[in-house]
Formats: sequence, C-alpha cells, structure tokens
Amino acid sequence: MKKAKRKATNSFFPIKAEKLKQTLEDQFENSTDLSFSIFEHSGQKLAVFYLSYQVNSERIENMLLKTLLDSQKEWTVETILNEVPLNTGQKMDKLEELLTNLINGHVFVYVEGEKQVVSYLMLNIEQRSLTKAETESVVIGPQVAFTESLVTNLNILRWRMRSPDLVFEKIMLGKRTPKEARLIYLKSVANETDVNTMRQRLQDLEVDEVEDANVLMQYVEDSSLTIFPQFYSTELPDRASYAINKGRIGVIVENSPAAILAPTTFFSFFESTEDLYMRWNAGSFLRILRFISMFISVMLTPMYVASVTFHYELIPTQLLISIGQSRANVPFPPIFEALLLELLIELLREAGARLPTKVGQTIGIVGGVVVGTAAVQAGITSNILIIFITISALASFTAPSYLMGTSIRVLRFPMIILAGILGIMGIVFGISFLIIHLLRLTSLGRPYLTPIYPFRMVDLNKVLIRFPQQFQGKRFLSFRPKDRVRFNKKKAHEKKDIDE
Amino acid sequence: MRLKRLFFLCITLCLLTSCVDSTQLEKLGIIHTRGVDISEEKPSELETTLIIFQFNAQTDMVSKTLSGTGHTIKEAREQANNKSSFALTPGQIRLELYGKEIAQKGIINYLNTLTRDAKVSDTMLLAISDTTAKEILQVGQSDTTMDIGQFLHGLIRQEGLEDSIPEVALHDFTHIYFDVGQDPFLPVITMDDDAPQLAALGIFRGDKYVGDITLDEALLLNMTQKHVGFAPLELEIPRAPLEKYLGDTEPIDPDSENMYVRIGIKGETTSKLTDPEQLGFRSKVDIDVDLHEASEEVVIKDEKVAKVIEEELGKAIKKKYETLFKKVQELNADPIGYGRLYRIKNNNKLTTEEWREKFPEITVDFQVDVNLVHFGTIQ
Repeated sequence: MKKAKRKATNSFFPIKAEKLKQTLEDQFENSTDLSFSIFEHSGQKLAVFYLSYQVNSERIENMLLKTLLDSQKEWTVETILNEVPLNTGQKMDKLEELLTNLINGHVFVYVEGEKQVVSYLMLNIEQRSLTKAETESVVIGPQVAFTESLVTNLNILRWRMRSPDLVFEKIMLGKRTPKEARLIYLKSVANETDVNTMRQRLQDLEVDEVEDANVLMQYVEDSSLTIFPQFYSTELPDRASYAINKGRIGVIVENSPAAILAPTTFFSFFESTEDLYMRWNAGSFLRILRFISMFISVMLTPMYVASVTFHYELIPTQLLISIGQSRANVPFPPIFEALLLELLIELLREAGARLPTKVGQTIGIVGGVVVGTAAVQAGITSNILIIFITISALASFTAPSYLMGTSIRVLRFPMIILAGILGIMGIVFGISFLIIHLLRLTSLGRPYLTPIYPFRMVDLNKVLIRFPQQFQGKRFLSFRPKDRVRFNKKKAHEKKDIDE
Repeated sequence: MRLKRLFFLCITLCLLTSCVDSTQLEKLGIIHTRGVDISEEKPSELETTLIIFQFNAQTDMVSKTLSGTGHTIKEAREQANNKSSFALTPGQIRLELYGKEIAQKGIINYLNTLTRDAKVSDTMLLAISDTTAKEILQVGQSDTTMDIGQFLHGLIRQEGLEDSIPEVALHDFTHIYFDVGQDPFLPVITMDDDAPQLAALGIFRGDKYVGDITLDEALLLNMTQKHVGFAPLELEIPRAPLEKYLGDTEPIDPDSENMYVRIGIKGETTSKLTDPEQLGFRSKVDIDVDLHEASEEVVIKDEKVAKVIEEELGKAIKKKYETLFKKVQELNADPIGYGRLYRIKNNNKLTTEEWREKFPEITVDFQVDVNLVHFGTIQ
C-alpha cells in the first residue's frame, strides 16, 4: 500500500525546476502567456508560475512573492501553506490536476525537491457590472438583470433569498469545455420529482459544450420539435426568485445572463412581475390585455385574408365599403398582400434588432412611415391591411417573454397561408391543430396548459386574473409543491391599527 | 414514424381539399338592395332592380344600379350580370323591396332562395313599395345624395329600433308566415316629393299583400308582439275632462274640442282566449306612460290630474285598438295572432283555411290599464 502511494507520487514530483518549466511550455506550445519564474532563495530554488491573463498579478506580488522572498526561512510545502497570508492554498501532486487548475486561474509555487506543489486561486475575471434588464424591461419593480458571471448571479439570488433552504447544486456540463451550472431550488418547497428530473436531465447531458442557458434549455426541454418554449428563460433576478419561492426550479449557467425556470405553463409566458407590483386590478387588466393581444396577433391578419378572399358576407356593410375601396387598387390577391406586409414588418424588426440603437430608430421611421405610405400610394397594398398588420405586430410585442413573442409572430405565417387557401375553415383547422398540440405539450412532465387543462380552480386566481395579495396564500398547486401554503389568509389580512 | 404519418396526413389534407372557390372582394358586385317587380314589357317575367357595391380604382362611386329580367330571381340576376364586369353576389343583401303588384300576388316563392342560402343574413329586411320597387330605387338613387339601399335599410331599421313598427326581418316574416293562425306584415315605402319615406305597415293575408294600417297602429300591433320600451305616440284626447287643470295658454285651434298629447309607451298587450265556443278574446293592454309634451299646458299639481289623464289616455288607446281590430277583421288577415292562441287551446288542430272562416266572427274585449309614470321627460 505504502509502496503504491510512493510510486504514484514519484511519477511526476519531485522534479527539477527547469524540467518543470520545459514540461509546461511543451503543454502550452511555448505560449507567452505562461509566466514561469525561478527564484534563488536561501539556497533553494522556488518556481512560481501562472497564466498571466487569468490572475491578479498585483495580488501575487504583494501577498505571495513578498512573503516568500522577504523571509530568510527555508520553505517547504507546509511552511508555505502556514505562512503565506492567503486562504485558498492547496497541495497537489498530479500533472493533470495542475494543468486544469492552471487554466482556471491558480498560481503555483514549487519548491525544488518537494513532492507536492502549492497553489493559490487568484482568478481575475473580467466582467461587466450590473445593468438594467434590456430584453425584459419593466417600468416598476427591481431593474437589475443577471450578468454573464455565475458568481455574480449566485450572489444576486442569495441576496434576494436569504434562506438556508435555498440550494445551489453544482453540476458540470459539457465534456470538452466543461461549464459550471447550478440547480437552484428551495429544499422545503420544490417538488422532489421535478428536482430529480431536472438533475437527471442535466447530469445525463452528453454534449461537448453548452453555449448558453438558452441552448441548455433546448437540450433538456420535453419536446424539441415544437415552436413553443417549454421553460422560461429570464434575465430578471426578481422573476427567478419569485418562481423559486413558489416551488419551481431554476438553472443558471456560467457565462449566460439568463436563468431557466421550470416547470412552466403556457400562461406564465404572458405574466410579468409587474403584474404583482401593480395594484391587483390594474395588474389583472394588463394581464388580460396581453392574452387578448396574443389572440389578436395570431388571428387578425388571417381573419382579414379569409374574409376578404372568401367570406365577404361576414363584414359589416360600412366596413365592407372602406375595405373594398382600399382593395380596389391592389393588384395582388389578399394572401400575397398580407404575406408581403408581414414580411416587411419582420424585416423592419430584424433590421432594428441588428443595427446599433441610433440607426435602429431611423430604420423604424423609414420603414414605418416612408415605406408604409409609399406602398399605399403605389397601390401595392391597402391601407386597412397596414392598420391590421401594425396592430398585430404591436400585439405580438406585448408578450413579456421575447421567445414566446417570436414564436407567436412565426405562427402567423402558416395561419395566413391556411386562411388564404381554405378561408375560415383553414383558420379553424389551424387553431384546432394548435390547441391539440398545446394540450399534448408538457414542461418537465407537468401539463403545459394547466390550470385550464387539467382544470384547477384554486390556481386560476394567479393566472387569468391576479387576485389581491391576501387571496394568494396558496402556492401554484398544479405543480404539486411540497409546501402548499405560503401564508395564512386570515392572519395576513388582520389589522392591528390603533384607533385614535 | 409519427412524424411521417403526420406529414402524410397534411399532404393528403392539402391535396384532397383542392381549391375552395375564392370570392375576392374587389372582383365582386355586391348586391345590397334588390327590388322585385313584374316586368312591364313582358308581364310573365320578373324584373329585378339591383343596387350593388363595386370597387373600382378609377372612380369613387361605389354604388351602382343594375336591372335584369327573367322568370326566376336568379335568371334576372344573371341578366343583370351581363351588364356588369363584376360577379354579382347576394351575400351582403340587406333589403329586398317588392313592388305593390307582385306583393299582391304573393311573395313566398321569392323568399325561398333567400332563406335557404346560408350566405344571406336572416336579419335582412323586407319591405314593399306602394308603386313599383324599380321606381323607388331608381328615382331614389338619382335624387338622394346617399346610397338609396343604405338609406332605406337605415330608415326601416331605425323605426324598428324605436319599437314603432314590429320586426320585419326575413326570419320574422317566414316565421309568422309558416305559423298557423297569424299573418305577416311588412313596411310600405312610398315616394313623396321624390324622396322615399315610410308610409304605413302593409298587412298580408298569407303571402299576399291585402291592405295597410297606419304607423300609429303599427305601434299598437307591435305591442301585441313584444314588450316595447317607451315608443313615441301622439294621441288625441278630449279637452273637457282636463279643462280645470289647463293653463291659460292659447291653443292653435280654440274651437277644437280635443287636445293632443305626445307620450312614450312602455309595456305590452297580452291576449287570452276567454270563450272558445263563442270565439271571445280578451286583450289586456298594460302600459307605463311618459308624458312628453301636450298641445296645451297642463298644470300638474296632484295625483288627481294624473288619474284623469290616465283615464283619457286609456279611452283613446282602447278606441285605437278597436279601429285596428276592425280594419284587420275586414281584411280577414290576423297579424295579431289570435288564431295562434286558438290553435294552442285547440290541441294544435287548426288549418289556415279554418281560421280564415272563423276570424271574421271573433270578438275581442280590449282592456287598457294606463299608468302614468313620468311627466316632463325630455326626449
């Protein structure tokens, strides 16, 4: 036994300092970023090496080198660990371990002749500071967004939820370029089956690299063929902590400013945290507005195409006259006219998203005003359709989740084609297809359309209409949280005002 | 595998449906109003006058008048279509107007195609002209600045909304027609000084136009059909009982023994078969009345005045009902629907012919209960 251990340690260390330098330089292909210096100190040779861009060189000079070189002691592994005023000291003796840590920002000190090497973590990560949320901007409520740094994100979440129940489970993802991810949930609340499912999906993932949380989401979703996202990806810490508090599971990934929330219902893509911060009636109004806009966004243009192409008898007489007059100049059938304009709107949106902010605004004006007016005057399209298309484009942008908004915009195109070919029948066919599809979807094994189907009365007060806070004492029961009750309704409402 | 099957299903669906006939708006001549007459040149044929909407880039004129003849309505439409570059379609038809002559011969044949066509709205209106439909539509079209079809539709619709005349939509007419024991009615449009206007309510015996009742009587008829809500009516009542409550304003005609009041009526008339043997009916008129205006100032200080007014109004309304009843009994047409009440009591055994024989014999006792609720309402 002792012999075996000796053999293992003998395999690499002890080693001559020059030899070590040679080995490492071979590994890094003579990279100039590897800083390897050898100090002669009290007859000992001390080798200090690190990757220069990964570490904080000021700290190395002040804390490590100063201590090591100022003292007249003889250094061993133990004395270095004991006397250098840094608390991340580690001993290691294997070359592979050494290389991994070297990449991850460790600084190594090797005393020639010793069997182990001492390392200190002095990682220096370049990161941006906290900023306001861009894709999910809110008017009231916390503005801060997640950043690309996992540590910062964990820090923000812990700051929002100071509960010992909160678990950050570490899971490494990606085989070639491993990346750290954290599974986040409240131990006493989250459903264990859900946590296990998620953990298993993450651990079983066999990919060489996970690019981003949004990519991870697509790897671990229930169905990857559908157009609808089944997990919510958010950049708002308050949204993430709200969901986790209610018993959902969060996943954050290093290098990604998005947190994945699961399980998720279809309806939660139309909920904004703002609904909570507003008074319940205003919040409910906005939420209903968003549901209606989703409907409008999918249905308005197809309905126009269907009724103008096939069902003129459905249009009220007065409207018929104005539609007819504006259609009279247009040389295309309604379906082409609609597809053309929808395409134009998507072009504008895409161009606006790609261009720098200042130019983006100009594109909006050029596209909206100039092209729109010119198209009507040139007789390529009718102005009534321009109104419809603009309304449905606006409506699609009300979805708080950008992913869902995009899905809905894409859905319009097959619907328009169906309406143009089969009229109302086509629309009915399309809608039925969508409903059946939505009914079959699951999110982490939980039905996607709950609480409408399967129907759960108690959960409705959080979905379609947001009831006043004192009625929200129960968690979202469709997801079967371990702890169902948030607070006692009666106690929450008790008033202990002193009447004067 | 499932994907393959789904793909296959979608392909078959697309291929098997083939192409649905498209009816693109701008390629259609959309018939809005249709007038039906007996052709003057060829008495065996129908002549239809169509007001259509057509959308043309060259002109702002949306509505156009076309006419065509044929033995059937559809043939006449086809004939008219030969004069237009647009495909004439009846899906948006809102009003069908019948000439007096054709209405007197019966119109149910022409309604047949309208009721069966799913594209035609059941709430479209029917009306008759006191001359020919062609005259009203053509003269009206050239004279009024507005489109005559929409004008007439609005005119009848407005009166219907005010409850001044009963509902005269297509489904109301056919419903009443096929109901044994009641006869339908339609508004009569007349031409006065080259402007079309609502003249009276035409009473039908079966599907044949037989006579008119006045618009005031139309309101009373409407009350037997449904609950009306404050429909306006002007009544003539004697001055004498109210003499001491009148203010000292000078009436327009001091010699007249009557004065006029305009009221709003809310309520309904419910009828009941009281004597099946002698065919005795009782119609109970139960109404709330708003007093809008009087031709002379009435000083209302206490309930006594209200009592007097209620009594006088009741007498006037009763008289009007009796005139109306006498009129329809002479026409041997039963728009109020006493026959239906009789049929219900009689185990549903009644044919139209039997009721034609019995209807002139029936007696109706009108009981009017007026309740004056507001006065001085501004309307």
